[in-house]
Amino acid sequence: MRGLARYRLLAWLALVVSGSSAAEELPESPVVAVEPRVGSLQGGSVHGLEEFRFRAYQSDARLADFPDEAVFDYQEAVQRFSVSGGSSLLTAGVQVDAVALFSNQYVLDGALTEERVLWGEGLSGPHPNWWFGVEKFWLQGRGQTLSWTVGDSYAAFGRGLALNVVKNTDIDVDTSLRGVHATVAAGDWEVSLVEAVANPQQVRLENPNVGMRADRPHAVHGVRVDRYGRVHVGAHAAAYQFVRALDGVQSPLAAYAGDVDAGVVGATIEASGVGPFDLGAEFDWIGYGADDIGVENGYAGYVSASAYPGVASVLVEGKLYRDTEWLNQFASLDGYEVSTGPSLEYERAITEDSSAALNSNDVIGGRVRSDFALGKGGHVVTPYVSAAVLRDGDLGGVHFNTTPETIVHGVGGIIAVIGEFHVLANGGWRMDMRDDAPAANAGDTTAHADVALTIPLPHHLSIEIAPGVLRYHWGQNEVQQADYTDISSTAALKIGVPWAVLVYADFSDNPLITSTGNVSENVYMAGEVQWQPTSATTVKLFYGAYRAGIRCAGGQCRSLPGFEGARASFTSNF
Amino acid sequence: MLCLRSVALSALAVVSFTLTTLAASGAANAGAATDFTLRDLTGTQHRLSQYKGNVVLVNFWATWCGPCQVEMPHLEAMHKELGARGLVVLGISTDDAKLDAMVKPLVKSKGLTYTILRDPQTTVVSQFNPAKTLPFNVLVDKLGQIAKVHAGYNPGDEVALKAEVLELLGR
Repeated sequence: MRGLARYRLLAWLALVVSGSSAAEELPESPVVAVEPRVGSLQGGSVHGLEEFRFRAYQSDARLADFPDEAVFDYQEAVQRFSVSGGSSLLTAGVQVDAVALFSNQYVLDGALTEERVLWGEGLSGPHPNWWFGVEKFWLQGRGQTLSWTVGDSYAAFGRGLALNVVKNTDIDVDTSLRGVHATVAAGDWEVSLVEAVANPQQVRLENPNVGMRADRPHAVHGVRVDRYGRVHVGAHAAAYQFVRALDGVQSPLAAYAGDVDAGVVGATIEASGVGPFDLGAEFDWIGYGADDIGVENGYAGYVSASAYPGVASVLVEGKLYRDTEWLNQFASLDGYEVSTGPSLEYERAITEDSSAALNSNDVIGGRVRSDFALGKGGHVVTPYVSAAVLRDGDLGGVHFNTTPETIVHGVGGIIAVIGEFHVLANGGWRMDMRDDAPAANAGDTTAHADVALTIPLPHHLSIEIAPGVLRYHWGQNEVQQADYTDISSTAALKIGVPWAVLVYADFSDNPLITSTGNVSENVYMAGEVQWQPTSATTVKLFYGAYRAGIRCAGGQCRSLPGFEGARASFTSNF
Repeated sequence: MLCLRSVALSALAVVSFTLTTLAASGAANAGAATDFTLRDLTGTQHRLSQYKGNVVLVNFWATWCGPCQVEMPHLEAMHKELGARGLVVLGISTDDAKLDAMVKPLVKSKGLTYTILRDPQTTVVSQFNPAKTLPFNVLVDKLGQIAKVHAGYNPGDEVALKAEVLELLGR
């Protein structure tokens, strides 16, 4: 094992050099000796982000022949460096990702073996425990009428039902579209074109990197026309050619050799000030041309109306989605989606069961939410109430039910800002009532509550307390599971701006999650120190454990692994 | 399997890396703000460069971001107090397309009167704030140069932010 230190050192040096050398190339701030005036921004611009993570994984698992050795412990370093720069008219950028595993090799019967495979299918690299690559690159031009990007960009049409590939770093998803994305804006008219292939990230910043593989470069073709004004109308079309398998290194143009698998045409309308209302609507029709998708067509409709009587803001939404999720069938294999419309779900309380409704191929429903703004200036209290009713007829995918179900979900909460005293609180109750349930109260129920409380103290100190609890009770079900409780709590002492000390405590007896606690089987504890040496730089040191679980953001859900060990992270915007 | 030597190397590398990047970021925390064009809630286009001659506070936020909503009243107060002296606040909603309907009701409920822009394709936030840390503030001086970047919100941050704005307005 000691002989492997050489490789580790090489990997570390590569990580460090790739970050520091790029940073050293940053130019000095330009000195602009002109009087202020309206016009183009002058001088070169540089924006960048350095993110570095080091994770030391600990495991209680042991081999029978080595009961005293923590043979499954290992370390992982991840670096992501993004920099873009240019003039007011032209910008170029690049993102370089690197990952290295340490203590990941052992010699068994004279043969050197990796405990876990870092990269494989379709990727190549100098060492099995180290990988780096240019994850994204782009050249952008910005004129008065035409703006364009060659390389990696993001795209969304309408409400995202036809195409919605954007950054979703909350769940560690950053798939971009690599190709050409151009927008022509003239007066009230705007036309956007997308011709690209999907470029999912290989390296995960916040989660373990194991079994990385090459992209499935699905081809995405899209066009969108908008006419802005008091009534904003738009129409779009998108087409997809999906790559099925990963056989060796894929040509980035592999998808173009196949037939069009899915096509979407849709239209949107938004009208402001129609009486007391702001109105919006979208309808999309989807045609599927592939035998392995299983259906021939689908459709999606979405409407919204908002009004602002007195201190209230009222929003009513409705949706009707039928066979729309098939669009994501192939992209979801790589952990992202190309189409995510409004879900009308409260994503902080999504469970393994309710995530199926969020991704349903047969769902109709509505939600009403009203916020009430009380107070003004630095003292504002905003309570809100929300209620959603959904009818989920899909029985496939990850659904636990064998008959359609009706879902009722009420949520209420408050956001209070009273000087530097802040409270954010949410609570709700949800019932999923299956048609075959023997009684109205025999459905699955979820009760949830979360609070974030900030209390200012003298001498630039403040305390933040953020407990959250979710109780899930399975109703009478053929696929009977165990009831469970999830608790997540954070307590933080902030010392001025630069320092914070945090304690995390989690509990979960959910039998569906894969992690175990470090205090007991269901209890997880951790501590963290945060340091902000500058307003744009954060350093965090974490030790302990947190639990696995499903997490949803931006209409996408992922089952994320737990963690036990030590973690250091460094993030700096510049 | 745990190798003390590799751990020592790791620690050394982390320290050297951190210091190197800190130094680099400190040196580069300036330069012209990359120009962008986004539409507001009425569909009107706004280009960052059209505000040259003003101090511009670009605030990235989202409807689901609690700290963002805590920060908003402070930004509104700053906008009302210092708008006449040349401060322009541009609140950029980073909510993706599916949350579009949530934006205007939140703006109304908060009583925000500063300009709210939409970035549903995450184009602009990807340039200024690739990690999508929220809230995230970029302070641009009268010449269009980035004067300060703030990631996140802690109680009292608004005091420091206002002091920086006043300094830029006074230049």
